[in-house]
Amino acid sequence: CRRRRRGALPRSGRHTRRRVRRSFRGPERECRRVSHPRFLRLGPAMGGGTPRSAKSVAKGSGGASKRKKVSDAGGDGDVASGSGSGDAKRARREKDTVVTVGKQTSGIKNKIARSELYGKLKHHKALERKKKRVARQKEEERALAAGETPKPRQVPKTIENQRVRDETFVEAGDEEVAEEDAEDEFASYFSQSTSPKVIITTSRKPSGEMFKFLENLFTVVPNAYYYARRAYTVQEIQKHAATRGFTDLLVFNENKKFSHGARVNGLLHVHLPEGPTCLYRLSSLVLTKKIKNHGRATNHYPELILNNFSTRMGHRVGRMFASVFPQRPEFNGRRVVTFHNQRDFIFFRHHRYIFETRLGKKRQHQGHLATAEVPEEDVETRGRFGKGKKDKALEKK
Amino acid sequence: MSVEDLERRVRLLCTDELGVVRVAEAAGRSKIDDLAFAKRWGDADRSRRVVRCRAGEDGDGAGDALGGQGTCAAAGWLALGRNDGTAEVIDTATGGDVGGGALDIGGVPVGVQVFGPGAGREGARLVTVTDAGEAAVYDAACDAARDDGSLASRLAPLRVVQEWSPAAKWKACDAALVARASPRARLLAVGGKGQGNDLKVYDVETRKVWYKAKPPPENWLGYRAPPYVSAMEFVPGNDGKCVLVGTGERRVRLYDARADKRAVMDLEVGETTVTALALNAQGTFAFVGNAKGQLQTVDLRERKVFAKFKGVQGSVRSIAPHPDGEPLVAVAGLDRYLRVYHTETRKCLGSAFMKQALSGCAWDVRGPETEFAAAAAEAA
Repeated sequence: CRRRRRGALPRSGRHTRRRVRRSFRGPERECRRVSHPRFLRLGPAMGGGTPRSAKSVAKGSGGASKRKKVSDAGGDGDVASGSGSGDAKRARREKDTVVTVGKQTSGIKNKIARSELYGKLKHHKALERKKKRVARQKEEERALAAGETPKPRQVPKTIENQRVRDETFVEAGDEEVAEEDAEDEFASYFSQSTSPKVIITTSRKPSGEMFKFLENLFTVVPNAYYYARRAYTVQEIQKHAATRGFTDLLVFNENKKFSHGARVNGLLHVHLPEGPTCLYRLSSLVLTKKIKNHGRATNHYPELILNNFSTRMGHRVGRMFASVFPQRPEFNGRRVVTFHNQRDFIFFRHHRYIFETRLGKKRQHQGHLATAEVPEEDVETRGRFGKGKKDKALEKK
Repeated sequence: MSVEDLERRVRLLCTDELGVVRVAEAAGRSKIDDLAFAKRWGDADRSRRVVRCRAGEDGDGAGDALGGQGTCAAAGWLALGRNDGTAEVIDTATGGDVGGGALDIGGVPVGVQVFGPGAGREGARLVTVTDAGEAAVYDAACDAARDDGSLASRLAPLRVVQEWSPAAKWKACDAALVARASPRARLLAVGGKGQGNDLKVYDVETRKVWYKAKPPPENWLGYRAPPYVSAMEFVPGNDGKCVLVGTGERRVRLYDARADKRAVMDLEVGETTVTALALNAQGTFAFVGNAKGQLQTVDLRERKVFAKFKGVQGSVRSIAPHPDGEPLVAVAGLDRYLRVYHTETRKCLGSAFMKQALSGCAWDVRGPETEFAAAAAEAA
């Protein structure tokens, strides 16, 4: 596992011990932790010692020691690295005592016998889990029927909800934020006194791919103008655009590699005349034509949705995006542009929605957001009419 | 609570992009990790944002006999230069004007410095330079509350009783980006961007160029970058003869007027424009901060880049070493945080979120000293 990934062991061949459970996620993780009986020995040096804060251990140990904790977790391990964070070690030890199916079957050498037993044990486990789940649901129903408050549901721990809300988070009604917003570069757009006028240009010598992308882009951004890049520097374009009354400059960059063709991969957003500049990396662009059953854009001003721009910097970036679009959404156009910020990525979507009446119930359909496998900024310029996820279009309010 | 339990508070003043002066406080030197935003003075007005801020300096250039630079009378003053072309001096204890009133200096200030009464001068002196290169020196009489040796009189606030009246005005350069006055306001150094705006040091009395820096030799490409002075400081302990300059091309140069017109030291420090420079009290170390948030120290005796300070996430706007020689340095960054580092261990001892992008910071040693003295007198 770890050694194989590092390249020390060959992937397959005479010298490997092929594990059956390669198709399951679970055993891989186990393998990382308890791949060899030798590594399980957590001696007295591990649990005891002066408790240290988790932070100091993480910092003091560093990358090398992290590996040490895992692979040389034996008694001969560093007392310093081991004795720290006694709580964390104890928690892990408890988890290690849960006997997994993999552990129960790992001793069997015969592949067929092992996989049979594995399947059986897994099936039993699934049945247990189902029983527990049904019991839990029944209990909840019973409590609700009896009028008591049901037991609180378990909330899975995700990286997002472990995030600590520190002081840079924007709280509702913060005076400082209001003060800053009243006078920053974007204030005039939100008070309707200025209207955006966007100039769009490219890197030098753009290819056909870039123009296809720009065609899509012009359906998204209202009041946008294209100017050829020629050989101007960004500073020159900025100066000329500012004198002609433009409010935003978008420079799209393209990477032209012969091997896989041209790819639009960057965006430089300059707010004119002197405003903030942001440089973005673009990926996972999906053009209109590629989307099945895509709808048709109209000229209505879109509604803007800005999700999760929650810190001071995020707030400012969100306002910068918002200043590109006119602040007079025409809701009868049912057109939405969404910027969804999540873990340092911003997902972009341009779509339309429809209200559909069926069986007397008013249900709102909309294009669902990009699936989880798409990690980077995604430009899908059409929505789908299909079963949508929980309504996000109204979350903005 | 005995006198030993009392601890002087740690107080720092920051100026921000909305023209507000913010105060960060910690209960004591040992509790500096609790450094937090305490209060603010002034109204938010972006057109009046503070562009330059500098703690007042003693007229004698070395602090008075009873205390260090931090506790001298003029250290209770903070000179502010605002974007609408006004300069003012405020009291660090209350945030109110010291007495001279807001002064219109005719352009966006690139340097404001106030000096207290000292050798050869009875009143306070304010030196300003605008971005158009106009230098001006203003004088005003001070309250004659001279110390009679007692602690109370030494810590009494010094007030300016007149309006600032211009004593001298001249054009220092075409376009200035930074300007600094030497201790005792004898010399004025200006620097900017573009040809003809390299470092120039003027004698304030005669208003003539006293030292003009020569550009560095061409590099191996035959190229010499045009002058771009983005940060500047006089090296203490040399009576204004040495100037440390940070440029827009990542270089830090030391000019010695006694030695040569060319830079005596020319180091590459950091990756972008040098935005802030500061020197320790002895003049042996320089703190260099740049637009990327990199903060490094340069050993001026060894003439080498020495160490890095980690943690600043935005451009370093201002660096303020502790005026009384304690091993602390405060850094105000564009990431809205004010951080205090220990100069020897380079650890960030405390950081305070100041809510707005900062443009300058200064230590207030005099205020906590006054409080401490009052509390000690009460306890005793």
